[in-house]
Amino acid sequence: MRRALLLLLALAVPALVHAQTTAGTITFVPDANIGLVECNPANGETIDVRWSVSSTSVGPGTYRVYASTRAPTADTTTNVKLCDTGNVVADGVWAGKIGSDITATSSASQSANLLASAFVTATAAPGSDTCTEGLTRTIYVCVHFFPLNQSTPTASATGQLQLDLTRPAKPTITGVSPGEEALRVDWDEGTGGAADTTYYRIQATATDTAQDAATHTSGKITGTSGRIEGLRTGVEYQVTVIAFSSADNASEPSDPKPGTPVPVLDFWEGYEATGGREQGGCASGPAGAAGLLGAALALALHRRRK
Amino acid sequence: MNAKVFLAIAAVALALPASAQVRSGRWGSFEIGAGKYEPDVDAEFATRPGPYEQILGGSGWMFRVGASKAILTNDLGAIEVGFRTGYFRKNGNGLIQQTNPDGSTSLVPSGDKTALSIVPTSATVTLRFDWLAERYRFVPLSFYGRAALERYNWWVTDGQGDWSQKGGTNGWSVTGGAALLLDAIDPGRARELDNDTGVNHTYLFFDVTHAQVDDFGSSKSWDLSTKGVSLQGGLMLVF
Repeated sequence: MRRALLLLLALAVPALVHAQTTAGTITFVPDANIGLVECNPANGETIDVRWSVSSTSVGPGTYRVYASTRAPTADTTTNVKLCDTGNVVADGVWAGKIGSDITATSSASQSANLLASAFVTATAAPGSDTCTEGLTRTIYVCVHFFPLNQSTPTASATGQLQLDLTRPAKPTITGVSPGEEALRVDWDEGTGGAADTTYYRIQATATDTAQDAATHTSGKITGTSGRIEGLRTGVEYQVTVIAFSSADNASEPSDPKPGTPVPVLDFWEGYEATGGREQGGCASGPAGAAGLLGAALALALHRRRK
Repeated sequence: MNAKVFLAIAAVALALPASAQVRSGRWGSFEIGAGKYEPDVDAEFATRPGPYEQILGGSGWMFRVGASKAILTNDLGAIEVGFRTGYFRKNGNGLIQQTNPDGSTSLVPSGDKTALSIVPTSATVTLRFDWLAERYRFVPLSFYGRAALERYNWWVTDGQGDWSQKGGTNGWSVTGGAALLLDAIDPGRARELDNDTGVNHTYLFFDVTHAQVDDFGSSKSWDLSTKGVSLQGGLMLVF
C-alpha cells in the first residue's frame, strides 16, 4: 500500500507542476485607466506599459503586445497564458496587436510607450464608434515573448486596462468670496453623473478679457471648496468648477458665478493698520540670546567642577 | 485578617521612608505639556476690539517641551537649569473693507485665512522641592518654582500661506507649580522603570505662569505677554 501511495505521489507532483499556468505581470503608467482624452487618437496620449514575464530571464527574441476583449487563457501545450491575437467573430471577441515588435533585452522586465487609443481601436467591433461617451470596457493586455526564429510564445505577462468614458455630475457653485489676488469658491457635487468624482478644478476667466486674457486653473481639489490664486485685484472674474472622474474625464463646467479679488488685511496688516508699534524683524533686546548663553555657561561650569 | 490590623499595617507601610528604595543617580528632568495662552497684543490699543481679538479671536493651546540638568541636589530637592521650547498657532480670517448701505465702510471677515505662529524658547532655572514626595509615600507631591528668560520667535502668514511678517520678542516669566508623583500608584513598576531606563520618578504636573514678553517694555515691540496667567499641565520624567 505504501509503495502504491509513493508511486501515486511521484506521478502526481510533476503533473500538478505542469498543470500550473504561468504569466508575468504588466503595470501601466500613469494608471490603468483610459479616459475620453486618451481615447481620442488625435490627442496622441501614450501609456507606458511595463512588464515582467514569467521567466526569470529571456534569451534573444521579440515581444509583441496584444489587446483583447476576452481574458487571456492558457495555451494547451505550453501552459503560457496568452491573449487572442486577432478578432474571433464567432465569439464576439475583438483583439489585435498594439504597436510594432519589440526586441527583447536579456532582462525579463521591459517597457514600451504605446499609443493609448490603439488599445481601444484594437478592441472595438469593426465599424463601431470607438470613443462613444458613456462607454466602459475592460481591455485585457498581454505581452507575448517569442524566442528568436520561433513562432510560438514561450513566456508572457498579462494585465488589464479599463476604458471609462463616463463623466461625473456637473457641480453647482454655492458661493464665491473675495480673497487677496484670489477667490474662495464653495460648491455642491451635483447629481446625475455616470461616474464618481475623484477631484475638482476651479477655473476663472476675466469678464473683460482686456483686463486679464489668461484662463486661470487651480490645482486638484478633493473637497467641495477651494481657492484659486494668481488673479488680479479689482478685476471681475467668471468662476466655474469642473469635476473629474478617476479616468480624468471632465464634467460639464458648473454655471459661472462672478467674483472680484479685493485687498485683504491679514493679521499683521490689520495690526499695522490699527497703529501697532511692533516693527517686525529680529527683536531689539539681547536678553533671549543672553539667557541661552547663561544656561550653557552654567552647564559648562558644573561639568568642569565634577 | 482583622480590618483594623490590616489598616494599621498599611499605614505603617505607607509611612516608611520612600528613600529606603535604591534609586539611580539624578541627572535632570524632561517634561512635555500644554496650556492655554492668549497673547496680550491688544493691550497697546485703546479701542476694542483690537486686531488680535477681531482677526484671531481668543486663546489657543501652547505646547511645550523642556529638559533640565540638575546642578545642585540634596535631600530637599534640586536646582536645575534647562531649556524649553514649544509651539503656538492661532488661525483667523483676514479682513476686507465692506461698504454699508449708508455709505460708511466697515471691516468684515474674508474667506482668506491668516495665522499667528509662535515658537517660544526659554532658558530656565528651576528650584524643585521634592523632599515630601521622596520621604513620605502618603504625600506624593513635589513643588517647584521656575524663572525663565524668554524669546518668542513669531511669524504671521497671509491667505496664501506666505510670511507677512516675522520676528522675535524677548521677555521673562515666572512659574509656580505642583507635581503629583505617579510612582506612588505602583512603586514596584516605578522601580522597574528606574532599573530599566534610569527614570527615577514620573510626575503629573500643574503650574501657573506669568510671562512678560514685550522686549522689556520696548516702545517698538508688541506685547506677547500672557493675558493674565496661563495654566499648564503635563508629564515630567526625572532621571
